[in-house]
Amino acid sequence: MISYNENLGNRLFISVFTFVIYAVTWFCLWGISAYLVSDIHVAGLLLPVGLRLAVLLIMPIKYWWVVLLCEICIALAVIQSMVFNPIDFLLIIAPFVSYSLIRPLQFRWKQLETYWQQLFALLMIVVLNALLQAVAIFLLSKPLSLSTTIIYSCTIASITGGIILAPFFYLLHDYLNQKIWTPLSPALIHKEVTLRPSAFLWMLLFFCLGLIVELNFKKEMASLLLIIVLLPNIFMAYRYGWQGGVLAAVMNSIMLTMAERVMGSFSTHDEMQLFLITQAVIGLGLGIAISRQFLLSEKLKGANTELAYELNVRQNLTRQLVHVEENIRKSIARELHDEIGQNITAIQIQATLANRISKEDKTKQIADAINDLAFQIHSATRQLLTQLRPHILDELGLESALQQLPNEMKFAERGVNFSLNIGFDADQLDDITSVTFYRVAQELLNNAAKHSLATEVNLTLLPGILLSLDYRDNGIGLPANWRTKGTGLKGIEERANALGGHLFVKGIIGTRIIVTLPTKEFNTHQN
Amino acid sequence: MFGFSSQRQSVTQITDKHTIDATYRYWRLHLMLAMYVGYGTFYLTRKSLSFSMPVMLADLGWTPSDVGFIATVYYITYGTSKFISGMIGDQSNPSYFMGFGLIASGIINILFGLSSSLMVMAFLWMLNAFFQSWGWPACAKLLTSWYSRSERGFWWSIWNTCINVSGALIPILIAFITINWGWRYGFIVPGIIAILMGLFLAFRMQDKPTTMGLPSVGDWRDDPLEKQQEKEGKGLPFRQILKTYVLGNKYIWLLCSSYLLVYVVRIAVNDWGSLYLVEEHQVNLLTANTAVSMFEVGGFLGSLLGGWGSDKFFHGNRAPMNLIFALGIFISVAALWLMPLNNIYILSGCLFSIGFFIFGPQMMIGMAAAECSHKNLAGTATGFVGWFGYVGAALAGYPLSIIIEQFHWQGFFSVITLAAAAIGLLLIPFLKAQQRTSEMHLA
Repeated sequence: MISYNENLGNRLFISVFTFVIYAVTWFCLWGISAYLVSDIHVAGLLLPVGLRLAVLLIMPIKYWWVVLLCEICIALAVIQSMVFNPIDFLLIIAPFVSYSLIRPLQFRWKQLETYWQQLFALLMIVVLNALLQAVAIFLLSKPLSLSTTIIYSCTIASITGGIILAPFFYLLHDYLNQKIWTPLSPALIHKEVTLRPSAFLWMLLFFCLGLIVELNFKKEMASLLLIIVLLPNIFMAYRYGWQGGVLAAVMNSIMLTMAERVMGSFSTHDEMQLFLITQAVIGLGLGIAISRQFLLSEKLKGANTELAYELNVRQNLTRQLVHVEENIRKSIARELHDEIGQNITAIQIQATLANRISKEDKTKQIADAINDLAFQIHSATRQLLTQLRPHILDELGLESALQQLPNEMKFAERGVNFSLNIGFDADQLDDITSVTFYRVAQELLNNAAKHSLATEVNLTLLPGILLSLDYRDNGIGLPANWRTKGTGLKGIEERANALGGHLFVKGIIGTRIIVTLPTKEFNTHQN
Repeated sequence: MFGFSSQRQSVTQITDKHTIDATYRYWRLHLMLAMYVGYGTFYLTRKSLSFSMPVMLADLGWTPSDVGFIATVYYITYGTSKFISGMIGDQSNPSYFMGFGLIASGIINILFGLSSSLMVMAFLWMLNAFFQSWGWPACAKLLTSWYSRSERGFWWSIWNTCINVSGALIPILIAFITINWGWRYGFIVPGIIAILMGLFLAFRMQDKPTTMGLPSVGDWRDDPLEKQQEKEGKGLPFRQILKTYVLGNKYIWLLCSSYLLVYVVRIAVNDWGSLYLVEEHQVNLLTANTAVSMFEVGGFLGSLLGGWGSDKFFHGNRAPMNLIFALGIFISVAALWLMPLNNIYILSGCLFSIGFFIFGPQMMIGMAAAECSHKNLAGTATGFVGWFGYVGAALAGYPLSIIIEQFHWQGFFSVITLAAAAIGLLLIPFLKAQQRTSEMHLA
């Protein structure tokens, strides 16, 4: 509520403002309290305590003197207008008790990080304040000749007032002060009236329900009454966290006071105050617990989002690596093919020419050797080219390339039946996906030919958000340790994962392997 | 229509910085003084009836219901014409508008003091209500065009205290005149004062700064908020502005409804307070009246601190301060209701508290209305909101008296406590609209 401007006029204004508004509020709360206590001299220790504790905790210490001065003035005025009773001395002493309690705690209280911690500490301070006050009254009971029963009613009163009002003022302060206010201006008409009526409607519903129950079923269902009265606290705390708990506690107290006014529900004032404390504590406690849980789950959610983000980044990185790798392979393959291939052919031609033109056997032999060497380099380069980049894929497309594979593996000679089904237009695939599928198929069929002893091999490509390659055979199945032994399948799995796909190994009879890869649209969408 | 009072066209622009500063400073102070005294005089010619009433009852043999009749006619006419004259006032020169209203009101007061028939007097008082309503829009227009956003709370609250000051001084003055010279002079003397004052106002007031060739106050004070409001909807025709910024402005309607409730509480406590004290707390009439006058004293402090405080603590935002005061109305009304003591000082304290809290919103809601509508429509917007206030005042009269008869004081206080609680609730959408982050911070 306070802006810390150092100039004197400002400080004076703040002091006067605080003084007047504190005095008026204190007085009104005292007036309401007078109705809630059996002995009017105790009234100053009920609701005004909540106001004082909240204000002392929130107010900068340099303005505390205003609060204390104000409290003493108004207490003196109130005492003046009543028939004097020794209890009235407590009105003067109580502010100093709160002062000495909060003075060392305020700094630490303001350091607390979360709302629920502050609220919890606030409740603790309320209780401590009441106990400290009880000790003070006990020590003063002799010189002021007070009866010891007054300790009980004063303590109950202070706890009631503190627990109902201090959190409310804290909420109000937080609501008004922690927000950034956009100024009121005609531009407001461009903004819709936003009402969140749900909270108020619920409150109203419970309020009416409680009042009706309170007024009608008092005698018959005393135990049910308790539950119904507590309903709004539980619900509001559950729905709106600590704010809900605080609001419900205040609203419920007003309702109970009204019911008391109309019906006289409680036999003594102390009983009523105890009831007020109970309902407020239940609501606040639940509210604090809910807020704490909410905070924890928020933290967890935050950590999860972070992890998901990290994972995504990692996947993107590997995907990029795969892309880069494929691109490099492709460009090296092109270079090899275009540059070295042509030159070797030229060397071979030159060697053949040298062979023909030469008369000397020695030279002929050398030319032949050059030709052979060139041929060897040629075939080695071809092999390297196929490894780097399945040349056939670029020339014929995925479908034809896949159909060529069984021939390369010599399936017909080994007596293996091979069938291929493609469920989509394979030539529409992007480069990376088709290369990957080709390599996967190549690896799988190679395994089948070498190790599986299968007689039936089936390869199916299925469309979907994730394209999948489904491989089945009727062979001996995979060894149990395929994941650690050999690199073929593991390599496939890593590559599929990097591209955002998966590899599944199933199969009871024979082997069934499913490799999924995302389509290009899906990929770009996810990025 | 009001050719004599229509706005002058702008004269040549003043460009010298020094002259601008000096002119502004001079007129801001003098306008405040003129408005303060002028509106106080309006109150003098308005409240003259209430305070001469007891003597008139005896002299003319009237019954209280006759006075009630005149009062009802007055409230209805005043509320309605406040809105209408707000619209006219926004398009005319305030000095002539306010001055003429005051002179007319003074003449009517003199005529009222000379007549004796109930019907004639009721008619005259209705006419008085019509001219009375010419004071407010002129002031609203001057307050919004000569003082900028970040300081308006202060100036407006100073000005608003003239209601409380004259509310406290008038009874003494009228009582003095009435006791010494009879009730007729209780109207004639205020009438003469009003005519003189009106003549003075006609020469001592100015139109908007721009018509004097000055830059607008937003430019002069370099107040970004003020400039923003000056820019909003510039150059639209009057009818269009009225439709968009007043009648079609949902926030104005929210302000209207909470203003209505503020007036229910204000007039209820003001009019029925002394009766309640006499019946329930066994104090005598004179003491009760003294206690009720504490209501005005509280109001003086409340409007001053509320308006100024909203400038200081919330940077010219009235909504948060309004919420605090609305909560205060609730607890102070509850305190008066539940107070078990019969001590007159304590009861005066209760009335002081209610006055303190009720006059904050009483002023700040009007101010908020002027600020969230169009710059050129300050008078209309406040007049419109004020009209609802007087509907509330009418509700606090006859309908509330039935509630008191049927349900006694418990019913009376249940109604006004509920009204007090509802004031706060109706302001919540404002708070929401003014929050940049509208979500609640959980945990």
